[in-house]
Amino acid sequence: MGPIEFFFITLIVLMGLVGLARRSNRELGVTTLLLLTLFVITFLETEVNEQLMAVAGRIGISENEFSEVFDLVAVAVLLFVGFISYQGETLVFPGSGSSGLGLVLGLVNGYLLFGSVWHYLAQANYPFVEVVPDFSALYQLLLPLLPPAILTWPYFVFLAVAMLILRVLK
Amino acid sequence: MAVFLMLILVATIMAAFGVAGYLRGARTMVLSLVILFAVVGLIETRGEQLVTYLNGLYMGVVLTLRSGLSDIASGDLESAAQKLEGIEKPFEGGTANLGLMLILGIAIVAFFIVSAIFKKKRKTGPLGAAVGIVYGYLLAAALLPLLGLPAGLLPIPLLREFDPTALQRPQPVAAGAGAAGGAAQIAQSGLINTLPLVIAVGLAVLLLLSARQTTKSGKKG
Repeated sequence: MGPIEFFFITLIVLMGLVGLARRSNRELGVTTLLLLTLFVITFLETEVNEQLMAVAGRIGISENEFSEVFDLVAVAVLLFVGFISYQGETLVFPGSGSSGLGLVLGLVNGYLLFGSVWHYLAQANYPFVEVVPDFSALYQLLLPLLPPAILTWPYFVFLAVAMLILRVLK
Repeated sequence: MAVFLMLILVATIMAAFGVAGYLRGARTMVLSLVILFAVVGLIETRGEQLVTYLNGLYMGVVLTLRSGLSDIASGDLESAAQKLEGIEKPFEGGTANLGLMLILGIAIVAFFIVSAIFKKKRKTGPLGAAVGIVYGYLLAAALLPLLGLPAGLLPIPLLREFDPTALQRPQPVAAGAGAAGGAAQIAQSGLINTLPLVIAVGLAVLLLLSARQTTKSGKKG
């Protein structure tokens, strides 16, 4: 397998192409759902993690095991939400939208979805695939810039709420 | 007690700008917020440099007032150098934060200028209030550490502090060490400190403007 960063960059570019076809009004709905999902995950990770770890400790799960399980659950939740937001009728913004903006928003959605999946997989040390060092300079540059690494839950919730307000605002 | 006072201060600033935002409209507030983001980003990443520029500016002005420029023009460089040595830097050591507060003040002045520019197109509304509250929070988050209050006390920092060692859990030693070491090198280059801020601001501005634009076009149609 080639460098892992190209795999994720390809996925993000593909999401951009999906956005081009779906147009901006549909992509904004996906963005809002992804922001809300990331809010929940990062909130649990930073604010409730210790309590969850304590509960896990009582049933004999070590801290490392718990962290790995948490990361994998986060990946599963993100992929599930990503799937249901693209499949079927979900939150759609009014208007017909534009394809150009759809491309940009598709790339943003790709960054939010697959960037976060990449972050949590890297934290769990890539449990299902063999990803071996040395990592390239691009990998080392991108990994600290993925959404959950640089943004906090207040950011996600502020942005999601602002977008919902804009969705309903007359 | 300090935490309580700080929270009151934060709430007051947020409320003040929330009301101002409601009265002055969303357009003014969004533009002012972008300016404030840029200023806070500069203070966070290039704070020392900004203070140096401010000191330089002050010294330049004072030197001119003490006829230093005419000394230089007449070739009397020694006299100009002596005059320059006699000028005390205004923002140094304990007072350096005052310089940064002055720069924050410039951002607030920009808010009033933007407000005056958009006076005729002003539309009061809750969106302006919402952006105003965010503006107030950001201003408070930038201001409080400069007042000597610990930044960590603020309940909701919008950006995570970059920690290259926290990139990966210390499981397979080679993988963790490689990534953290490399990132640390990038971090030393200064680039990594600016990029998260650029991404966060860019993402927020892009999404909010896109949402506004798309919703607006839908309601017109």
